[in-house]
Amino acid sequence: MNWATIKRELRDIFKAIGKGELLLHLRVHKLLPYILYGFALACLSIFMSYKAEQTMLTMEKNKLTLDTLRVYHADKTCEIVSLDRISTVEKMLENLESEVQAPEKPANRIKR
Amino acid sequence: MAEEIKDRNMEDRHSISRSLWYLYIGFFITSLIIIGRIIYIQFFWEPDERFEHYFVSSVSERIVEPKRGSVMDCNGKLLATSKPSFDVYMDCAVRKEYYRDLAKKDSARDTLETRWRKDARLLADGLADILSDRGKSADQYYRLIINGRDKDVRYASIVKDIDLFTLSKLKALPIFNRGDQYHSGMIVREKGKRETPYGSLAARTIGYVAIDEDNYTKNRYIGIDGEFDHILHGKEGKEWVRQTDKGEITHVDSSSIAVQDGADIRTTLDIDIQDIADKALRKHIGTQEDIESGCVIVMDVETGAVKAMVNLYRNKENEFREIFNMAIGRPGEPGSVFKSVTLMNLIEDGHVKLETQLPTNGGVTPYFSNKFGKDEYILKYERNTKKKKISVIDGFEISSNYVFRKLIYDYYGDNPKSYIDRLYEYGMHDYLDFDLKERGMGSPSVPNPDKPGWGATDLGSTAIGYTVSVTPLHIVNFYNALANKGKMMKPYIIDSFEKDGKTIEKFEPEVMQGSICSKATADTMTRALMSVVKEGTASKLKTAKCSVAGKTGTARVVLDESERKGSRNPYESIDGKKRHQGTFVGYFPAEDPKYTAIVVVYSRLTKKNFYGGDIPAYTLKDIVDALYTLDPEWSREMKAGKYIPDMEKPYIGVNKKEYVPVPDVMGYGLKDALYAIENNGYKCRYEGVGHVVSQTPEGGAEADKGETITIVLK
Repeated sequence: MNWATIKRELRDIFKAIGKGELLLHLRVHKLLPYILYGFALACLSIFMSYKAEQTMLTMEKNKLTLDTLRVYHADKTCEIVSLDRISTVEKMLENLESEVQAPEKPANRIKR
Repeated sequence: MAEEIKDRNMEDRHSISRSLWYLYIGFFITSLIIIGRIIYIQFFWEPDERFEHYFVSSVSERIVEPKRGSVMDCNGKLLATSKPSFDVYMDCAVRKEYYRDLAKKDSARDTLETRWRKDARLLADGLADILSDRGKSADQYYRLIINGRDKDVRYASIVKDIDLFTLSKLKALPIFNRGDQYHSGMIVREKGKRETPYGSLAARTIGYVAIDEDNYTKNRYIGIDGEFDHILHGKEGKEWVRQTDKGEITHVDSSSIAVQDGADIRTTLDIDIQDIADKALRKHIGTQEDIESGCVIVMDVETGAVKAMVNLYRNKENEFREIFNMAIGRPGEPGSVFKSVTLMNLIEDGHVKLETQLPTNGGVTPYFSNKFGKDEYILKYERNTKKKKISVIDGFEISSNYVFRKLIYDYYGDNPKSYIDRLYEYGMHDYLDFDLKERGMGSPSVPNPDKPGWGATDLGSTAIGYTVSVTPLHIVNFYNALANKGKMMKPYIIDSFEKDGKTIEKFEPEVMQGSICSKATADTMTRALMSVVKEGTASKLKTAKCSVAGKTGTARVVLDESERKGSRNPYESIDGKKRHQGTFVGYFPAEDPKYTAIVVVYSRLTKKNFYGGDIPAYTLKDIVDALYTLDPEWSREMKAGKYIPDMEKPYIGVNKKEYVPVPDVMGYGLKDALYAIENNGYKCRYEGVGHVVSQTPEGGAEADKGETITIVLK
């Protein structure tokens, strides 16, 4: 391609721009299916990114909920474990005026 | 004509080129403006504080703190675990400028500030109500908030160390319920808090880590938590966080580092035995004003595993707390419990038998009458029995110093090293390679005949438990070897490291000395120790629920210069006051030992005397009785098919009181609230769903049984 051809092409392009026929000049109408396909892909990509972000946000929220539940579980575990102490149980029985006491001898076992 | 056309064309062309030139200029100026604006925004412009976060980079690095591992007992019960706690601060000036700006534009908007201040009163009331245990009134909270708003305080401390449940209650209060911190002003800081569900039980042994952010030399690493911080801590992770309009999103890429949570530690401690020992020691030393502290160690005979380690020290408020690990950290002269070491060597070397007789000699050790004086126990023995000879076993039972000094000089006087070397073999001079040796274990010492400072009386003193300085752990470890037929196990307290319930490293019991004596000698020692309980100084244990073999020891403690006040006697002050260390150490059941235990109590400077046969023996009796009844090991086995006695069903009564306080169910879920209310004999009526936000009558009030408690859930 020589310089004259380039000049002519450029001139034609500018003319086409002036006339608003650039795309026709470039014969883009022949590539329309591909353009539409590209456009659809771009839309899909944006949509997928959006959905991915939504999913990740949901994940973060779930993570937070799980963390909260974990803290709640730890709280309750500590609370329950603190009751699992012989002297605490004895004190609770005493407060309830129960007559239940620690055994005075080891339990009997029945031999199989 | 052609000229005219040419001129017109030229004119058109000039016109187009002019238009393009203007267009170019336009674009050029616009680009200059844009570049200038970029430079201005980049270097000079400061956005409004309220919108600043929209203009800064939305991706930031976040360090993820690992979850600290837990410490468990041998049955997997939680002894120490980490759970988050929260500090709450308030940006008292929240939305203040925004309201002011709105009020400037529209005077009616001034009501927003007025409404905020009204809500602040409600917030203060709510804070005082929810945080009633913190002792601040609603007025105090209100003043804190309003003064803070007037003075533009952005970080006023509201409360520290609250749990998630309390936090969720605070978040529901007026103002705090207005969304994020830019609207509510509520700033929550989460921090890891070490929780010990069993409270003070084994607190010093479990330990803690205290980090001083400003001065690392003040960091404190105590007990198991401190010694194994590198195992419990885990490794920090790194991740990237992107801010979006709807919240944060975590990004993981090749530069992210996954957080590694700390491993859990399973100890050999048994929290039930710990509780029993703690309770027994508190019971017996709590009523004695002159007792300063006490400690207990319970050890498994077969493995050397420490099952309980209690350390109670009287603080300034006159309460016994776990503030110093005396069981491993307080070496001292053990006194008569050391006579077992002497006796075992004498028997093992074939020098004496328990029945061997020796002259009483008026309780005076030959050649050392000036140094040791007369043994009061021998004088009493002579008076009671009218005998001038005493057997070794009798001397052991009455814990005669004379008998053991005489025996040691008779058989080891020419070669004291042969006796002292044995003490080194038993590890009396070192840290026993104990798991907590780096965390405050006291330095033991044993005299050495080859070193300067060895005196003629040292051998006699060592025979009765003076001049040697050992911790209670050393003594219990020696007795454990006797109980284990001469096999000395290494004492240990760490059973394994675990991660997600799987064992990653297991520590097996280790033999320290395969045989410190023959089985025959060990059996003879058990017979001697049993006779101490039956006939001797430990008769308080005679009525224990299973047979105990053990020895008492009472030692005077060397006083500081300040305590002596000029006295020449290192054990006694000028006004006749002393400090005592009373010990009982033994194993049970004597015939087939399962546990070895030591109880040591330390007195204050006092004129009273304390003996190992009193408080320590009583304490051990309680421990023995409780363990004997609780441990299924000693259950009686009944053969099937034989006669089984009828049992009377005992009356088991609870809630005998006519009036039981109404349970406080605030914050409970419906299921728990119903259970608590109906279990106490009340009926329940409820409205709504969620958690209880109000109840009538209030928790703690007295009401007739069968009355209806109304709860509202939200």
